[in-house]
Amino acid sequence: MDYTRLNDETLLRLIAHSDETALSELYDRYSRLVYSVSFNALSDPDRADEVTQDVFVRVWGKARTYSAEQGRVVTWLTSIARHRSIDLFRQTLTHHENLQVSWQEAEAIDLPDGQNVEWEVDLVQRQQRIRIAVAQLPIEQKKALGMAFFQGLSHPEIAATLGEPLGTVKTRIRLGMQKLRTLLQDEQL
Amino acid sequence: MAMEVENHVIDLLPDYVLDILAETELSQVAEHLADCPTCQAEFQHLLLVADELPLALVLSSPPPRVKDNLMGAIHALNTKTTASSQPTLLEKLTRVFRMRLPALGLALILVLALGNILLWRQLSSSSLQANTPMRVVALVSTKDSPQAIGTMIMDPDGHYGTLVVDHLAELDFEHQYQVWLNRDGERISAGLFSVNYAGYASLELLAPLPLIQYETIGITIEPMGGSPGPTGAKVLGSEIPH
Repeated sequence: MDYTRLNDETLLRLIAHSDETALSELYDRYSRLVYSVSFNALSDPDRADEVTQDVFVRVWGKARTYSAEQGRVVTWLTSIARHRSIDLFRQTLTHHENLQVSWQEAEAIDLPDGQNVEWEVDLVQRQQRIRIAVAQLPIEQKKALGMAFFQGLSHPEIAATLGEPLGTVKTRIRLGMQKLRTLLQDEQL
Repeated sequence: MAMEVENHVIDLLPDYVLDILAETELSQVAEHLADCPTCQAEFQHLLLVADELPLALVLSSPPPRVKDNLMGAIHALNTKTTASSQPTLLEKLTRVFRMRLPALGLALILVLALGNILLWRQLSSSSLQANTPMRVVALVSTKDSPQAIGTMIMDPDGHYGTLVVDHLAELDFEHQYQVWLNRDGERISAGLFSVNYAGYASLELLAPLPLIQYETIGITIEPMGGSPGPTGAKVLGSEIPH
């Protein structure tokens, strides 16, 4: 069976039946994304390694409870990674000054050579769409949004880190999210 | 007035989606969302934005050893699970005797059971118990989990500890249990765990300060991976005696 051609939900069903090859394939697809979510939160490669491994161990343990109605598999993975990373970030209380989230520039993404399987095409299209949208945000909004989403910092914490008024930070995050919402909706029309 | 309230909640939705809304406003938004289709629609749109944000990151790869360690651990777990599902020697013998010599099989079971009881009594005798004055804190269950049992076991100085729970409900793939320690009105997360089919789990508690310096311990139900602060139902809790 060619696991690279299976969609994510099918992989999860196989994982639920203790198929190690299916987990290996899911890891190959999304480990970079999971690792990057964690690294942007923790800025520590060793801890990001730990979170990455932890996420896929949880997938192994919880695959049988997943159903497609509850959202995309990749969203589930990144959500676990994000929450776990924020939890670790707060446990160690290591607040990094000027901790930057690395937003990818909006550029054309080539599909891997060879097979253009459905999950790859979907992922690439979604990546391009959100990167183009994020690129249209003012840098101050991107910065505040990144700190809130990936590092789980509160408004006062972001304001203190950036040396900005609380109201300014709240407005930037709100406007950033609302602009992305509009851009993504326009893109889908 | 109704329109002002609606707009006000819409302005709070980005923070609500990002999990950074102040606690005082959380319940306000949740209650409003329950009855407002307009805000519900906006909430869903913003959720989709949040779902996509990780895809906008610069991607970097974990080192190969992460996958090696992961697959090694999974293989070991998989092998152990397969082995434990095999019938034990006693079970095999019991089946054989039940099929061919029912009376003899029953006698064998009785002999083995008696032996186990005698062995258990030996192990339970005070001469074999270690004299370790560990600090033990019994957690109290709440109405959301009345059957749950929880115990925090700390070293004699109260620096380190392990949490053991039993009879907690097994949660779905979107949720986990999270442990909180409170001190001077400030809560920190001491760890996350999932229970097995029997509702049992154990967890080494992690905290910046010695555990004895915290005032209370509590366990809540949170999204998978944890929350910055408690958002879900509390299932167990207790004061930490000093």
